[in-house]
Amino acid sequence: MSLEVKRGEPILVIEDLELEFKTEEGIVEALDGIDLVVKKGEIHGLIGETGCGKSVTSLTILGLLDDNARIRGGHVYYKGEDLLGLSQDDLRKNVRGNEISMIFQNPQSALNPVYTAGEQVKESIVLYQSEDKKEAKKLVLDELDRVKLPDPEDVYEKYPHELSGGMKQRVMIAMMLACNSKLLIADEPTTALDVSIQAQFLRVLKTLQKETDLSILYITHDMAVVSEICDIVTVMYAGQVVETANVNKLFKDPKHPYTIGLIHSVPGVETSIEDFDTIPGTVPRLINPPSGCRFHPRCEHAEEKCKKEKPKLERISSDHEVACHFWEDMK
Amino acid sequence: MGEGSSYFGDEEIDLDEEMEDLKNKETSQMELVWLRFKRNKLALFGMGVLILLVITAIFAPFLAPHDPLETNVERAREPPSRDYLLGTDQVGRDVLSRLIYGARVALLIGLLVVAVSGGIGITLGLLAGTIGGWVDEVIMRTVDAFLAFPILIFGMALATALGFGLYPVIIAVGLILWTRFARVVRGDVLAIKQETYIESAKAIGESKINIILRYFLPNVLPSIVVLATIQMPFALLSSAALNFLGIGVQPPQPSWGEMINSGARFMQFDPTMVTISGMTIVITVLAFNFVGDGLRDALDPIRRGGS
Repeated sequence: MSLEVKRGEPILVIEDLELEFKTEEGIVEALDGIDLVVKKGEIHGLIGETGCGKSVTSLTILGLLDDNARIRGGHVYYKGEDLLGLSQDDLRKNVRGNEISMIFQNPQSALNPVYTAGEQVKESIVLYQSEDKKEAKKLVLDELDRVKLPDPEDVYEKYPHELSGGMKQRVMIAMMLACNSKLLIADEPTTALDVSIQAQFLRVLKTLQKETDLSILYITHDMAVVSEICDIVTVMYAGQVVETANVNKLFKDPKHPYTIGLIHSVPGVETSIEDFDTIPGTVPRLINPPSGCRFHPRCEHAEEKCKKEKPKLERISSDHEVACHFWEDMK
Repeated sequence: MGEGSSYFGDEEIDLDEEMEDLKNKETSQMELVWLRFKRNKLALFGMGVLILLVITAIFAPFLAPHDPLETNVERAREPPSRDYLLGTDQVGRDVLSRLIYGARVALLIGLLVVAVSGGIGITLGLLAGTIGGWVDEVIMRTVDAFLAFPILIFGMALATALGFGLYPVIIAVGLILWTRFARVVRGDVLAIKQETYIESAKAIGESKINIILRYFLPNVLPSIVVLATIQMPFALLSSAALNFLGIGVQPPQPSWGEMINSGARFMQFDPTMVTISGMTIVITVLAFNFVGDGLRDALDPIRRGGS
């Protein structure tokens, strides 16, 4: 995997990924033909309601799915190689860490409580950069400094429970950066942080991304975060991709009724709680998903065709794709 | 097993403040643990007893007033006197000296049994928890099978098969007690498995062995420490029982269990010996239990990941 990908070229390509979970209640069709392209050096937002398959998608990329998951079809190409064809051993040695790494939702339990922050970052350094002890420590301090932690020497000696949520999350990024990964998957990293810490965190992430030409797949359900840091956004609904677009275009001119609903349901400072729109209904349970377009039971524009036929993701301009039979009719 | 009475009332606020102070002074984990531990008076008492016991065992030759093996039939079964502070046994050996030397046997048995049972139990528990699937099934059903045996009968059978003596007893008791380690460790591993840092470790490409040794093992360590202190009295009691039955440590070598056995024979005439050796075991067992309890309370916040 030494293949170099130039800036702006696709680094991760997910094609028609289908995945199901075997549960006691039946088969859950978690992903139904996901298409997603992350380009080198971009921050790609993956957005959708809880349970729509965002996290499952990310775990599939790293091969970290639970045993009850079965991939029914599709491909996950990373730098041109299909990750789904690799063994766990290959993934561990050649992909996880040195190529793709991931930061998780809950910083409170994301660090091993028995080691200091510094020791944990050092673990990545030793795995991927330098085994020399003195040098490793210096590199760790560099990484801690890079993620703008105040007083890296001090943080190095601190145990996770002595750090705040925001600091822990930054230590996590330092750990991932220390692996020299090319693609970072961030699974709702700011959900557990309060708003000012969140802004700080996003700033650090954005700066680092520019400095290192890192590609980021940023998973969230927070529209505000998306508008703040993402270049491209993919919207998912119930295991399907409904729309992908440049972030400005998506907010200005959304085409899929679900995206439109999502954007309208973001409460603003001016709007009162009575005024803002919500999308009626909830995400369907995927044991018996709706036929055709999975959004049709909640869609006010739905017609017969939507129940029968699954809409294909259609390119409507150079940086805008949408999966809706009637996108042309949307405002 | 008390629930650490110091955790109630205004004392808690006190504790928090004290801990905050200490945190500001850059305290280590161990200091925090010690701080919480020493608030439990019973645990402190238990630790005092154990320290005394260890000192007694180490310096037995200097502390014992007589040779524990020296018999003096003319002065057998004597009550406590100036010559023999705790009296003499049926063949005129000094009871106090035998008790002191018995501490050596007791501690040796305790430590080795915990080492044997811990070694087996921790390894199998880690494997069962991390690998899961049929490995887990096989290991845990074996645990169930072991638990189904009555401990003493099993110990007797094993000790008989291995021959009488100190080491067969240690192996026998160790083979009985490993099941608890396996269960506790497996349970902890299953809980830790859900933690994000395990997923994180996988995401940076840590190897399986590294994940077990650097992530699972250190995080189950507090439970292991607590369990080891609680297992120690079980080891003492089971081995004392085997010694009492005459399977274990062979006379004239002194052991507390054997002393109860001998003392019980002339209990009607003079209960001193059986009472004193019995009390020694009871106090030692209690001391271990107090320390175990205190350690559990003190280590618990760490086990739950701080805060």
